[in-house]
Amino acid sequence: MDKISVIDNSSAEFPDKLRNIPDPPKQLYCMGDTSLLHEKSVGVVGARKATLYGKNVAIMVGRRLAESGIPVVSGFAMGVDSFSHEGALEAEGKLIGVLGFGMDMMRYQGNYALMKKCIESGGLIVSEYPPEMHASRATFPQRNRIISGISSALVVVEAGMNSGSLITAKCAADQGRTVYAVPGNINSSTSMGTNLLIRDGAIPMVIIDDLIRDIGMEICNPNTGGFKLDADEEKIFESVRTRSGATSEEIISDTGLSASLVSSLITVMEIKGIVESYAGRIYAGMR
Amino acid sequence: MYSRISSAVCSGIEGRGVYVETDIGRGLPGIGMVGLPSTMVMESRERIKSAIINSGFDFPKGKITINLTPASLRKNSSCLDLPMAVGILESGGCIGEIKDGWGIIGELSLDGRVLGVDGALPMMLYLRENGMGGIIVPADNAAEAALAGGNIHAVKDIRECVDLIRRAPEEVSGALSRERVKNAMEGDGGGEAIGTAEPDFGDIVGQEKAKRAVTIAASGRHGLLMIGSPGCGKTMIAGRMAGVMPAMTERERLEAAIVRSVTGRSNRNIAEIKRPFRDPHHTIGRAGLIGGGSYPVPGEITLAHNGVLFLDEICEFNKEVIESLRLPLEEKKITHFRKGEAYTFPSDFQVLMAANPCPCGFLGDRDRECTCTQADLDRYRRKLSGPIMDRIDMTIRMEKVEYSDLTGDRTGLTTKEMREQVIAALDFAKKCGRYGYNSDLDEKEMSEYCALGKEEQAFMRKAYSSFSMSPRSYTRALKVSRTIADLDASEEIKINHLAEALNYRLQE
Repeated sequence: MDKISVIDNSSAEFPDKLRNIPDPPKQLYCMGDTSLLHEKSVGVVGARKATLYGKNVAIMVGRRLAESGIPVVSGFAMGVDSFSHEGALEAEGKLIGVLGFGMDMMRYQGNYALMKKCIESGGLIVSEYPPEMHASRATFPQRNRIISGISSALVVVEAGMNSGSLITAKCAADQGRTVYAVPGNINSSTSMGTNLLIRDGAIPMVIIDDLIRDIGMEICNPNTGGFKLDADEEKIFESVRTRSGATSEEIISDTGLSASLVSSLITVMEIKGIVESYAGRIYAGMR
Repeated sequence: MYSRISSAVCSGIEGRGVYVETDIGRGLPGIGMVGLPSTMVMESRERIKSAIINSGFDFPKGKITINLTPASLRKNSSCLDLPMAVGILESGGCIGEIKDGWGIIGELSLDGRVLGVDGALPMMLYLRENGMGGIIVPADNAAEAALAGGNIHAVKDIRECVDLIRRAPEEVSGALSRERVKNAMEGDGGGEAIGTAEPDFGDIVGQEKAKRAVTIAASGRHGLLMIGSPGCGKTMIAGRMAGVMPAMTERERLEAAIVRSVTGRSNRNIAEIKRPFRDPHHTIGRAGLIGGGSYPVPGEITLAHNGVLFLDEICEFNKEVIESLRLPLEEKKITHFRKGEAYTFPSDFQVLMAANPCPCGFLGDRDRECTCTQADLDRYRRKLSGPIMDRIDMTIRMEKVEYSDLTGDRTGLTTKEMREQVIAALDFAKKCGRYGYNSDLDEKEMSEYCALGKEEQAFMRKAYSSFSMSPRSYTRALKVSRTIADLDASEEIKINHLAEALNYRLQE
């Protein structure tokens, strides 16, 4: 992978927004395009064990930000962090990853493939720790202040009651960054943290474009192709939508179509991106 | 005086011929035995002596030497008791001369009764095929005799046996026939009940997708994996699968009977054999599954020969145990090597597996929360890949059927309808020149029978990238789509066949 460069707290390359936070890092070890540090970027964080809702929203947010040319900042954790990065990569956007350990340790991480992709696609990985530093219980919460420090705004997608994302949100608030939280069902344990953030004053993230406007960036709209459904596909889609996620058996009983026809149509609709299957259920797709 | 009696032993699941030579000379009384007898055979000395005396014969005086030829074959069967006893009686001059052409098997009880033995059927088959004019078997093995065919006589004790073998086989009437065995069984109450109601797929309402998958799997003998929360009906489906397969041929019936005979599971209505269904518990060891032992005996895969092997909770099985399935699944037989001998058992079976979606079983369930950690899930997924998944062509997700879905007036497929579909698909395949199962198609056959049109190729290309498939999963989907096309009586594989086959891929 690329070479590691070190940016000292006092150098001009060190971004002002990060220098002005309450407890700024002494130096940043960087790999990749350091000019990204001076661009307006948005942090997207959330639960490791995300639900399909969290996964879809994280991908949507990542993709939308990338389409408008805004780098997505995250922590390379499993779950929401990775999904937001994947969404951004889909739209050929730039990533900024903040590590909770030294850069030599990257290769031992489950997410090493994504880290490589980040660099290959012209992104940036930073860490305040020297390359040989191991991860520990304390380093991850510490790096959260850098995620919010680099970002102009922070989006929390899904968070449980004790999620590390809530620490990031607190840092962001202390640093004067706008915090957005994605609202969820009030009985969903993975949305408890984000809903509480909204109660305590975070902006509910309802329309992604609002966030882009708020940080003073322009919205770009890529071409979206529509799709046509035939009568049977329409029936299946209807069943999936009304049940907000249906099993094959439910679709078969709703539509009255044969098991073999339903199976083959679902595959075709999956390829078109109209529906998506996840953990044994078929959901309406994102496109 | 010298005597030679024809008999047989069961080695693996094959009958092997053995001659029992007896010679009585002068010396201290006793029985010496040579010719690789196992401990079980050596112990028969005590049984033989008591049995002969208690049957009212004189026990010859002098030094008795028994030789079992061929000397190189290891013999481990109590079925040599009766031929040895008869041999001693003949060479001791107690019963006169025995006529040629008799093959004798049977274990002895101390009072002179003849007891049943394991593996009688392959022994009888060997003796019949090797020119024995008449065969003597224990009365307990009479049911198997009906399957072997030939001039077979069942005896209850040594005296009955001696009465028969003093006459030439051709002169003795009253051989066991299939009808006689059947009548005799019905006469005395018939052992186990015949024709108990088999569970039917018609009893399962709303699992139409699973039923469809079972029909496809049975038509192409594709390995099928069912993933679903506890209580969603995986075991119910599995228990009914054998019923969907076509009725057994005479040959398959005989193979199944041989395996049962060897493993001592021969019940009295062995002629009523159905397709086997075996569901070993996940604590089973390697030997239990594929067979083993110093004198190898068949394991579950051989008991499931021509039937269904159901592995429930597949992730709980020991990895090495699953790994050992690889070879028999490919070769449809398993060979064990013991002390310079190879023992081959058949193992051509339909494999059916079931797994929970995660260790706690509730991932993706609407009502119960999954309590597994990410690490648990990762570990579980790793288990579900590799050697297990190589054996699986089709995967379905099953979900509990809600009560509200059951109240419709829909009547689902029954076992009979599904079996008719399977038979029609197999017949169609034969008409197209394919005689094996689609899961066994090799590369050359695939290029011939699974050729795709232009549109179909374009569709598969799209699917390949959208579902990030591997070459292996591509091949599997192609084989399954061939079977779906057979069920549709279509010579070409069309897009809807491919699309349905892709629906049975392993999903996240």
